Amino acid sequence: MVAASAKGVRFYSEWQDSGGRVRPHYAGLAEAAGGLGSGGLAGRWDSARRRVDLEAVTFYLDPGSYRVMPTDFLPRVIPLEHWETIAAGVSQRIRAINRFLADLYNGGQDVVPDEVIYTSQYFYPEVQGFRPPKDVFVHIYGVDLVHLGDGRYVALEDNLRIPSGISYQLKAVGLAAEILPEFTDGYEILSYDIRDSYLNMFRSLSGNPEPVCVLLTDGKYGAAFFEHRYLSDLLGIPLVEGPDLYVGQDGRVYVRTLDRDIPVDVIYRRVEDLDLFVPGLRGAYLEGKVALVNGIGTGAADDKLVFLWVPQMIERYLGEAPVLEQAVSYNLADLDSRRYVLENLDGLVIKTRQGYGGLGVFVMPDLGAAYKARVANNILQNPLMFIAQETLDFSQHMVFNEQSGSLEPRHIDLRVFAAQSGDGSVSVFPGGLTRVALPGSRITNNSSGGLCKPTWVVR
Amino acid sequence: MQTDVGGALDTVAASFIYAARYGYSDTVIHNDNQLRVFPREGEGQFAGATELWSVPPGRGVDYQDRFGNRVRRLRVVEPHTTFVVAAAGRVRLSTELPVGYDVSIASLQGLSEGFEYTFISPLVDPDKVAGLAASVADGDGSLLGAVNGVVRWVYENIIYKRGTTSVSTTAEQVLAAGEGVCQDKTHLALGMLRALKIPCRYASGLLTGQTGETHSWVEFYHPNHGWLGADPTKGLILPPARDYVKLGVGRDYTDVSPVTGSFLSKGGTSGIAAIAAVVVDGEQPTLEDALELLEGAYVVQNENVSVGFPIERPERDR
Repeated sequence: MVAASAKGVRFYSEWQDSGGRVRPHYAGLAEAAGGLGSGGLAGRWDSARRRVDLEAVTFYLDPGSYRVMPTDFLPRVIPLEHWETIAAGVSQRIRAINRFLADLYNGGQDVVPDEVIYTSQYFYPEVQGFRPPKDVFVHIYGVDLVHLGDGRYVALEDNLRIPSGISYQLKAVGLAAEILPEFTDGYEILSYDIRDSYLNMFRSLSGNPEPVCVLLTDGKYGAAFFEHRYLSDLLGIPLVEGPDLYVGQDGRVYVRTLDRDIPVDVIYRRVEDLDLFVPGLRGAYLEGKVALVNGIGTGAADDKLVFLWVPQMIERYLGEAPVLEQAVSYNLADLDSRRYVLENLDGLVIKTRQGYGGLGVFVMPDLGAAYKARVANNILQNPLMFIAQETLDFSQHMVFNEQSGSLEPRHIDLRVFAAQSGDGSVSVFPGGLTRVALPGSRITNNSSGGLCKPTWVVR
Repeated sequence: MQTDVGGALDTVAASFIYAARYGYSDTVIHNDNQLRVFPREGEGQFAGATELWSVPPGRGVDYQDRFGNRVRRLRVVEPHTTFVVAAAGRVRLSTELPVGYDVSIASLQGLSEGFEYTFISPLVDPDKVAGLAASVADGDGSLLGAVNGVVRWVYENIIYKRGTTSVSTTAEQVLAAGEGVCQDKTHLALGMLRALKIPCRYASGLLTGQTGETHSWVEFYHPNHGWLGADPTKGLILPPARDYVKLGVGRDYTDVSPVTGSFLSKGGTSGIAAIAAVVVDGEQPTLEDALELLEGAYVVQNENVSVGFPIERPERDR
């Protein structure tokens, strides 16, 4: 089964080659799925869904409205040789971006034009002159990639503030292994332990060899509360809300417990506006009284417009050529780029600069004429609020349709997570979160209603 | 004594102050702003040193935007319920009358200099006022003739009236209402000039010798003389540079608002006051001078503003 785009272009299929033959690394899965048959698969999908319900594997779209994470359990398989390129490229990006942030706040970076960086909503002047523990700003990093086929992975955007999704990656793989044990037959799947990586990273940031660490959540109505709960369980660190923490007379941050208040060394924060949750927390961090994961001000490089200069950051700060390609993008504040974009809108994706989760993403070839005209008008009126990217015909994978009992192609992407420690070492966690777009769409973000899939890297 | 500001011979020195105060109904956790309150260089204006104060001080960084304005990004993270910003400095203003020989509008086409200023912008849609523009411009296709026609028409037909328009009133809304303040007149004139294919920009600043509100006017592009002024509120074209202290230029008000930004608070804005003054031959003003001036300012808006990014401050050029 191969889908065709409106232009008649065939998208690269992860599952099968252009002749319709299942690719070698999917042969085992195809055989296992064939053995179960449509009825068998539907039964397994049903019990998997019950597990997801019972364990409340949720990702809320509207705050407070209950919604489990929709998952398709047919795994995505990444061959090891593809993974080696991905891992090298991801490691390169997090290191280069971290060096850029250190330069931005402590030197005089000249990679990104002033107007671009200083108009970024998440550039924080109060961080200037501040050096975080071990000079690490970005501890947890997630980058969104798409696969164009034959091992060409292309970066679409970097997530540097509070990237979420790693729990869904772990949960999908874990549930698939339990509910579909025959799927793993014949596969040697790369395993990894995020618990050790995270805890070692926390330790590397503190002078205390056994640091007190907490996970700061925005509460049970937040979109990714499942993830906060899951990670605090996995890491064995307390899950705290704003009122559980306070800044003491000595400037340190304390967590309230039943018997006494304990000074905190590392806060794995999953909230953006720190002082809204814990008054004075930003000041405590900037005075070096507590380590924050991630640091303050990382969002300046998370900005979709600043993304344009990541290849230059890699060349400047690491002296290396970028391993991963990235989507060709245009800065609309530049007159020549703006002219080009307005004349070639039909082939482009327009994104709002500060948007996230697939909101404010306009895939122009998929839109009607009236809508296109409105987007063009918006670009002219507010050129600094948007970026344009060349449209990519990226890969599709199969999703099991329980109603029809058949496999259907859908676009997928891959969010890969990495952790950077105080000693500069980077762990890139094999696999990632494969996100599946809705039928007929190229927007894969879970915030836009897409599914996720278990993802394996196989030897 | 005029020693601190360089420039051409036929100039006059002036000191200026711009000050604004924002009151909030609850504690503000962070207040993030872009300040365009530095005098520009060029078109008969020579900028001296400018001092910029804020209370609480916050932290800031300066950069130049794509229109050539010097901007300070200032983020105040000290909890506060009042935010004051004040800029003061000296400039030297040319006393010579600008000269502009007339040329055809056709000679302006394809120039890269004015390209940024030929399109729709948030408050100015040339297409919506194109019919009027065509009927007002005299038919010979000359640049100064067109500018004169448009500026005179706006001056004579749009009644100067406060309180009926807002910071977000568009050019076509001004035309429909038939009234407004200097910001509105400038927007309508810009829309008409752009409809006639004349690159033109919004200039924001202060009026020499006056204490009160900020002012706005039009600058249009001339292939030989660069940017030239026209003031639809006063009904003048090519006014003398000495009459204005220019703080910023852009496509319309949204690009040059002196204070733009957002804040995070459980409450809203409880009162905004702003004032500007230009004194010929004045001494370098101090923060105390600015605060004293601000005491005399009246509250220009008193309304709740929702929290988000960005929020245009409801403060206006008159």
